[in-house]
Amino acid sequence: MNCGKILSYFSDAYDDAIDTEPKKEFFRHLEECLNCKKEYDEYSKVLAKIPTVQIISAPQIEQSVLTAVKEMDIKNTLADIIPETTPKLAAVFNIKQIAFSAIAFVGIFFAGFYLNKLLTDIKTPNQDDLIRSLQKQIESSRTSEIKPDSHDITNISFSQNNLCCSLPLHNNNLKFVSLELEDPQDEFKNELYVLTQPFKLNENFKVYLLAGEQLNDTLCDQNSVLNNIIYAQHNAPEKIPPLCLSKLRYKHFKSEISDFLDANLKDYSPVPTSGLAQYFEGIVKKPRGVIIVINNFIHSFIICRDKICLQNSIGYLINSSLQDYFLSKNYLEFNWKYSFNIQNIKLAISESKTKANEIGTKSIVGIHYQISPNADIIADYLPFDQKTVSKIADFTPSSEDEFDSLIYTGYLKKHFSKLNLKERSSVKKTLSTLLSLNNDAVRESVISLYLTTVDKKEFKLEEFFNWVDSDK
Amino acid sequence: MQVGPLKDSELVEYVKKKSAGWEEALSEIMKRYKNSLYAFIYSLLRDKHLSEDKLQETFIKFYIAIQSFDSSKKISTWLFKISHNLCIDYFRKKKEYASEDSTVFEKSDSDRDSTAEEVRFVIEKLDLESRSMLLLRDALGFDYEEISKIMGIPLGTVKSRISRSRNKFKELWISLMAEK
Repeated sequence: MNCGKILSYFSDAYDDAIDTEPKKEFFRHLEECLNCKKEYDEYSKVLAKIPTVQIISAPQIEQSVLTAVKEMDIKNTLADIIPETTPKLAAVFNIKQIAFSAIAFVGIFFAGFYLNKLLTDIKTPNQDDLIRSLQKQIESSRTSEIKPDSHDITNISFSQNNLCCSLPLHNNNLKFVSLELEDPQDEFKNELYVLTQPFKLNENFKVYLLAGEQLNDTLCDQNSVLNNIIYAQHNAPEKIPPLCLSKLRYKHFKSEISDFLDANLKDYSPVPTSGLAQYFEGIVKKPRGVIIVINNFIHSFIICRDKICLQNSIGYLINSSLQDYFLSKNYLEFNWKYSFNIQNIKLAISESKTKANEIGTKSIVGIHYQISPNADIIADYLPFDQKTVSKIADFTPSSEDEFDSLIYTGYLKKHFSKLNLKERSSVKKTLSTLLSLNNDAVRESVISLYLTTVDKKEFKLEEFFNWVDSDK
Repeated sequence: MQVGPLKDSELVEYVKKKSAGWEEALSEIMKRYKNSLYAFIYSLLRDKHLSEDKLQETFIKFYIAIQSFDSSKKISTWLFKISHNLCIDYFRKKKEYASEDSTVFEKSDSDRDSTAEEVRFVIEKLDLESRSMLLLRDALGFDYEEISKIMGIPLGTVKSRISRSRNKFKELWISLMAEK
């Protein structure tokens, strides 16, 4: 190795990245050539100064980054939850604000005290309030302690034809797991599934196992449906519809399942799942058990975390963009491998338990979101409006696309808002209960619900509140 | 939550899944990497406010893309790739608007009151790609393969470019010292 060539090895030598043979030659040359040695020493010495650039402390940026990403999350959430309604909301708000301002002006000018009081009583909603509310909820969900016994209503949504309340078990820290199973090979066709006896694990912890089968049209007669809808519950047998009780059948692995649940789910706390759960709402005052809804049609294994409550039982109105959002955030996980058999049930439960532990939740609920051809018969045993249930049961999208487009092009409005809300006492009762909670977030949800679904010709906002409050 | 003992990949998983304590996990990631990132960014941009902005932007972009990040990979490579791209974008835009803004990086001699500043001053004389490589290799200790990933250029190019940049750095350093 000569002096000319050795320069090309400086960089590799400095990195100690020369092959063995050239390395020997390189250092042999340095031993023999003082100039090159001096050159390489200087080279190394100069380069050794470069790491000094690290001697600088970064400013405190953690808090501002956290704030930025949280705001971003909120915006994303809002954008995904109300992507199409925002402009409409804005329009309504503007009109409302203008209207209220005008009334306020006239009221203050002419009627003074009386209308002034009216204005303070009727809080005009706006989008900022909704955003603040959501932000507040998200903040509190991340900072507050888990309150395992709390099931305050913090959110509402539609399920099928009914207003449903989510009853998140962890009040400000809503996390829940949904377990559903599928039968892709249709191997259990026409069978009744998972009929189990009620059981309790201990005094305060009861397990409710609901089983249902998606029947095809030919099977959708009253008897098969009644056989199919099983309420196995503890503590309130008098509330089980008599026909269902008489048809309770214990078939298939009841003891295996109950033993398994008994052994594995005792640490879970329950969250009622909307539609069917609403049936239990008056029964389970303070549920401490597990509700697992098993159905062989929509077969997903869903993990939800964070604060947003997805809920639907026999309804299907989980907004697909919302679902996509949850998927994108890893709030949902789908697992399609479950066939409806005891091994897979065990596997699914076991996996759900693992996931639940992983995300620090103790809750399991079931979510269905398919069209249920037996909805109208189920409705006999649920506080649903029969007329609406029938309409919804008739609606069967032929494809996923149709499903989406129908939702977005106003299925809700077509089938729900045209109903005469005034005649729907169960809805009114629910709304009234929600508003009586004096919870801003709930109130805003109700307002949002009104703005997005109720036929404005039927009610103006203030009339809507008056209607809700009228029988208090 | 005690995030200190957690590995990078575990922290990333926390943030990804928004598990309880994800904010602490994200803060811990920032604590672990902000100094080296800031040193890198500042050495490239030579402006403290701008560097702070780019540092924040790096972590925000990291958060936005975290769902697609493979936790088994090195977080540092990814973070430096983000910050490097941000700096390139900045210079690209700066070049576009060069006539409007030409004063950002002018430093007086009095700024060069430490070895670190002198090193930055000399590095600044190199082209952006060489600067980045030199910083990543000789200041921050990334290996050639990681640098190749961060900068999105072939391994062979990295190696030869680093060698050239080192020679250039040495020349400039010696002339700077001779001026003093």
